[in-house]
Amino acid sequence: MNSSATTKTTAVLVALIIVVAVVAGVGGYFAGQSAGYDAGYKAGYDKGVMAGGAKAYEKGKSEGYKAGYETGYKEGLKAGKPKGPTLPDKIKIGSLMCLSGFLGPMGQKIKLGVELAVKEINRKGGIAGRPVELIVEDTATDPKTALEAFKKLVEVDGCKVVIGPMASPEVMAIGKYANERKVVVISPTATSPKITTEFPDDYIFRTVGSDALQGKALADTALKKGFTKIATLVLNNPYGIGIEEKAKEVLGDKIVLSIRYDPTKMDFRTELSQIKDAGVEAVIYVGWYEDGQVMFRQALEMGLDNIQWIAAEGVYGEPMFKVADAAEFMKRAVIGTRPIAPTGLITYKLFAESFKKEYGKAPTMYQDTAYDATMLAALAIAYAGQYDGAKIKDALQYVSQYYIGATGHKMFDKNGDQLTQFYEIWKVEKVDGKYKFVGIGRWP
Amino acid sequence: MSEPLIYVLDMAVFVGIFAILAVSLNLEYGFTGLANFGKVAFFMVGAYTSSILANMGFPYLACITVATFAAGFVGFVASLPALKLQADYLAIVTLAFGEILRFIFKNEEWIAGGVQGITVPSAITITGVPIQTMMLIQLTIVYAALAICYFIAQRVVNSPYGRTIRAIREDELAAQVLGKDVFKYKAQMFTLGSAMAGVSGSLFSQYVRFIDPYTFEPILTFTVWMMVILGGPANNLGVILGAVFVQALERGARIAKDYLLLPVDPHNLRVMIIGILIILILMYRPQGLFRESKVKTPALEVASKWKKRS
Repeated sequence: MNSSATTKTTAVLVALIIVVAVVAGVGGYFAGQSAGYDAGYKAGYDKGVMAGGAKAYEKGKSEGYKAGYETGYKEGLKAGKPKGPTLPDKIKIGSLMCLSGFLGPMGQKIKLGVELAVKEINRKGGIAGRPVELIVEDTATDPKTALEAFKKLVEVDGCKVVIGPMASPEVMAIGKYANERKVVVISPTATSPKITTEFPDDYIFRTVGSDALQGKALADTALKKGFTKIATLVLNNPYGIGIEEKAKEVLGDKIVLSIRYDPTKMDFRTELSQIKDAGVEAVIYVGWYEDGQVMFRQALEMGLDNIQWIAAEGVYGEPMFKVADAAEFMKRAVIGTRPIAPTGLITYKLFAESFKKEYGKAPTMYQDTAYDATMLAALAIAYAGQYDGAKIKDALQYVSQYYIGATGHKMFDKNGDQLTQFYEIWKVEKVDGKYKFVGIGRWP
Repeated sequence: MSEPLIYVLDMAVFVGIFAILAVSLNLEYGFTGLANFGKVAFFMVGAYTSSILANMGFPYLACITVATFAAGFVGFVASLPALKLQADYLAIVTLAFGEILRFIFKNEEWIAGGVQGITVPSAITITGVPIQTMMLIQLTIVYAALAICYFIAQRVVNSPYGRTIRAIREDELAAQVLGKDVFKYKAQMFTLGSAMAGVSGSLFSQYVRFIDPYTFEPILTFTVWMMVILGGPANNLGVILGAVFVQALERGARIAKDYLLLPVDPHNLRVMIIGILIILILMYRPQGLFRESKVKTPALEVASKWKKRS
């Protein structure tokens, strides 16, 4: 990136920070006015713009961003004003995570992102001075259990906002109930395009892009490389099928072979020999860690490293390197996409710093979207000034327009989907005997 | 605001749905001695049939009726080859049957959306009614179905027919020697049990309103087995209480974890508790918490009166 571009980025970021600060003020204004309490407005507006935004603008440096960002948050959270009777003394945020079952290992990690956000909110004085209580329930990666756990959160605990669930079928299972009971659901990870068509314009939100976008990113990557004979090899579940359908839509008859596989099978020689026999130039691949390790190991055995593999984010992560052959195969033949925050985003750096301070390690995939989902929920509650599902839903649409989170601008469209989502194109390299993921490009 | 009552009602609905399954498995295993490890298959047939019909716009009464017959029919067809096998093999075959059926629903997208699942339109829609009332209506439907199933099951097991199937359970050869067509009786009980599972599946799908193949994994069968073994095989009331117990333990663990500080995740503890209980029961009380119910017939009643008089 050259210097003028850097300056431009800086300017844009500064502008965004100011927006964050201003929304704090606006939040303060509305909330203050609605309860006839002017001080909230004044404090929010003055502090937000003057102390945070203006300072950030003048300095135009990392320090300034941080101050602006922090103040923006703080004021945004405070905006519900201190004396209004409408918010409960303790604000409950529910969370549904796959802590056991197939996505268990991933869920245990993603939970940390939610917890970090809650800790930060409470450190900043909670929402309008009220502490946030987080209640996490396990869904066991099962739609039936997810619905039961969701009912527990809603009916027993009285949660009006729930972060999660993680898997798309779980979101599908709880969607109708959420709408009926007017409970805002923000999933940080469910990517199936079917969620958009099944639940348009309602209480279901997500802080990650629909796979309609990632399918396009994968297809475009294949197109850019000039492949004309392509196979798709995807998990036989909504995640895999969502991407497969989109890729087919973009690539048309360039797709000569489509395979859906069962991840629990753990022997994929049949599928791999089909690919070998088809003589394709590239494979668009959607898998998870455990099946991915076996898939890549067997692909290496069968000499399939001479064709280009283009993988979705399911196989992005250190666990893939536990199997040496899989790691080697990835180094030789695999590139892929994954959802990512815009490059050099200061808010991501702040998030990563905070995460490292709390847990002693760098954040991994989807911990950032979980963090953003929680922050958005808190800001929306603050802006709504009431613990009421319908109000929070409207507030969420509104605050999302101004929220720049760890993963960038989180504006929702009217269906509660992300308006934009960036993807990194990655590959695997071996440096000093250690495998690691490196970014080699971006989409769009 | 929070409505714990809804959660309690929700649990009651699930107890009812599972109690029907438990009663149906009790007919097969408790009374006839058929180790059906594929209970979920017939539950699944009921659920899918009902959902597909509901999506085509049929009224709910039609959905549940067709679902019952469909599950019964599939049960009958499945029983023909399966019942020729000895007990252990029957268990394996039925288990496999459930999985095969699940894979068909999973891979044949045209049937009901494949892995993406299918949403089910609400069976009863009354606008402007509070959710508690809707739940009570649901509850009434489910318990009415349970009452009918319980009534049928009680009639079957207390009739001469019931004594025949108990005889088959105790000693197949002896029953054959007495001139009973063992295969016929077994197939009939399997069909009846499967039809009841279909009722339960239909109720389940219209209650949760979204089903996909992941909902019907074999673990569901074993949950029903837990209810039957804990409650007491061959005691219809016992297995219903078994259903209450297992559901209460599952839900209770979720709530208990908010109030208890334990070294283990209470949600996992629940699985351990159930496991230990089953081992203890099988070791020290193989007949379950409740003993096999005594046969009730008019003749027996008269006889016992005479006995008292003398």
